[in-house]
Amino acid sequence: MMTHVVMYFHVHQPHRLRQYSVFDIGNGTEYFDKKLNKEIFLRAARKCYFPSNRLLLDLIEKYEGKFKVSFSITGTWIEQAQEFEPELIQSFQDLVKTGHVDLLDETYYHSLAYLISEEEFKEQVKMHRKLFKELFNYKPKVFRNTEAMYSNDIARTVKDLGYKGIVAEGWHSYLGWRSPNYVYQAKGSKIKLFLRNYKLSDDISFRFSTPYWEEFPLTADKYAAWLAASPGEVINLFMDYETFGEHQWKETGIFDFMRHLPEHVLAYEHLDFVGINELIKMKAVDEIDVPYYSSWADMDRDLSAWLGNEMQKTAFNKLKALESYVKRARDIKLKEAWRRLQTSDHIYYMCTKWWSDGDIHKYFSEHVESPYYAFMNFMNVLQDLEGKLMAKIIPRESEYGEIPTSL
Amino acid sequence: MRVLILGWEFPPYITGGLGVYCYELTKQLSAKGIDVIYVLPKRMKKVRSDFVKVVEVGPGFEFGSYNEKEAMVFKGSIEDYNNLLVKRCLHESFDVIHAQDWMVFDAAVRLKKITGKPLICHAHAIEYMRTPHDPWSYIVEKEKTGYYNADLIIANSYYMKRNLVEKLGVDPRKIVVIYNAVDQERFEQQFRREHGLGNSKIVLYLGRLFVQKGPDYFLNAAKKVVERFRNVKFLIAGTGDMLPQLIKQAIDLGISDKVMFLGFVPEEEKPKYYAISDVYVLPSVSEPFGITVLEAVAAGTPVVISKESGASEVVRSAFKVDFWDVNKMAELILGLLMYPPMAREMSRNGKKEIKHLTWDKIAEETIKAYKMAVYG
Repeated sequence: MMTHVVMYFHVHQPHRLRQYSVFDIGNGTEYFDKKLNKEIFLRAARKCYFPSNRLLLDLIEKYEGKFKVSFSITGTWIEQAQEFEPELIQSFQDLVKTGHVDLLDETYYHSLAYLISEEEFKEQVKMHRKLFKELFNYKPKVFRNTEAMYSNDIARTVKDLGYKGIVAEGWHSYLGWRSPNYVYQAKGSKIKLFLRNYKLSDDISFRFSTPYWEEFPLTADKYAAWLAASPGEVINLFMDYETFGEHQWKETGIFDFMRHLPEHVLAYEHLDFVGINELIKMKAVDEIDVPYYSSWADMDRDLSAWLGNEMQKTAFNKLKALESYVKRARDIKLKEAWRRLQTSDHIYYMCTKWWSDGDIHKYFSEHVESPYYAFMNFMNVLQDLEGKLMAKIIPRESEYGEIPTSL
Repeated sequence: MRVLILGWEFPPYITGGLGVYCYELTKQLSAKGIDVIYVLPKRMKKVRSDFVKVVEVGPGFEFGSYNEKEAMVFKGSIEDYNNLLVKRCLHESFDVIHAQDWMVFDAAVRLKKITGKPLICHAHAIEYMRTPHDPWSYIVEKEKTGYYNADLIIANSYYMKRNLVEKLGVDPRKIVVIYNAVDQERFEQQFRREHGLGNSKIVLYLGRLFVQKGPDYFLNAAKKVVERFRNVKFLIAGTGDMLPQLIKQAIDLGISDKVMFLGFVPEEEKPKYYAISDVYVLPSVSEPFGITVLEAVAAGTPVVISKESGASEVVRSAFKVDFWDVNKMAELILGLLMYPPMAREMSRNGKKEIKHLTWDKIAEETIKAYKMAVYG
């Protein structure tokens, strides 16, 4: 009986906002900080993307198909790569060409679009699909929603879009006594559910370089032994790609760990690596019922990292309220700006859950001084965007004798 | 226990703090299981209460004000009322008499003598404090009658207790001090009414008006805020040698209608001012600590504070700004005015953060420091 190891990496960078003061509203100031985004992107390219891609390509070639990985790559990442470091696109294309890399679809903007409207969600998924078709000539069969946000309803919508599988957190509140190490089926729709083994995933992505962790330092052979000892049919190791070189610096030995992991895993006869598409063929052992939203974030595995406080709810509701304006304004540039603002990171920066003690959120949002600044900045931008949308709507609709309902 | 409270006013008939006090007190007393009979002069407006038995005495009084011209009329009404009061209250049974200020002391003392029940006289104000240069002897005599015959006196502050002892010669051993509660909402309404603030947002500066406190930066920031946000008033509480200069600066900036100079604010009044403000600003050029920041945060007021202050190390849920960066200061004030959800979030988190900064903890830390110094 084989246990399949799935290594799936999520690749993402948001379009960060510039410091947008209340005095900038209505002044035609650019929303996004190209200089900052370029700086962060190039640093991540140097520290993570280039060396990690190189390493994975080497491993795939070395193990002649016995080592496979899977990726999801956001539209906002691809836009920035095309602008700042086009060679990275080539590098991912080379990986995909090996035939040992599976790709997953998601919302183009790494957004909470599902909470805005089903229409907006579907449009963003289709945009992402189109992007992958063009860049990689690839049609993903598995879907990952932003931050592994999941519910029965999301599964049904994703199934309707034609996907065969979807990713979620392997969380005990809906798993109960069951193990994440099997393929399941979503409740209410015939779509396979692939659950992240968060313990084994976080051993790499969070704990790897933590000196006070009892298992420190983590070596490839020790980790492979843990995998080998894990009962079940599949072990889903899902993590941010930036784990390699960005969150865990090169100096921690993360690349050496990864370089040696395949040989130690493959030394066990009952372990192999598969791409995530392989899991679709496997039999679902049970049905999982998630009637509420879950995610892979924080200790709470819910939406509280994005919609946990009053600022976040205010900002998100404002963003959501702009949907009808965006539709009526019919302006491609403004629509794009609105969608870039939907990227979940912007609202994540406003999280105050652990702000008072300093926390994990911090290093994802280093450029923002505080959740309060993040909120104010975002709201100032939304105010400006609203003004611009209105300026488009009013002259056009009054031509036809329509009065904008929101005024 | 049944208390006979001899009062003066009750909602909706209220002319001052006494009515507020009696309303809040009787409400709480009855909630705590004390039977209250609240007696007051009958007036034009009918008084209603569902938590306390209200007895209105008399044909419908109009007391007028006690200036010299109307003194005779006023005195007459008081005497009439006190006579009726005694008669009426003899129909009631009670364990203790609680008389609210001099207007009812005459009747209170007579009731005590007739019934033998203990008398508590409550000192809300005394004539010597109202008109120190020219006290009306009629009122002073009523006060003396009440306080000399009382079994117990409740003074609303130690300051009041001192005055009772020094000015009226009351035995200090029978005086207990019970402060009045602050009814923040009422204070705010009254303050807004008196200062014509309407529903303006309020931005507060509280501190001495010295160069190192940076009040001039506060005004410069105010100017920028006003350009974007009209419905706001800037309060400057405190005095100092910069006052004339600041008044001129406000005029020169064209924002004199947006700035109010409140003068000196006594220590015990400070929390009320924090609480009515939407933003507290500490623009200090240099500030070793800045205890006002913690006071404001404790009152739930979001703060914009100078980076040059010790307090900025302690509170994370605050906006911090270089004192000279007036644009930024204005931007942050504006943010808090424009986005109430952010102000509320900052207020909530700020309060949580400073919970551990109690004087008890500070004393413990200091003792630790002593021990370190003594024992190494």
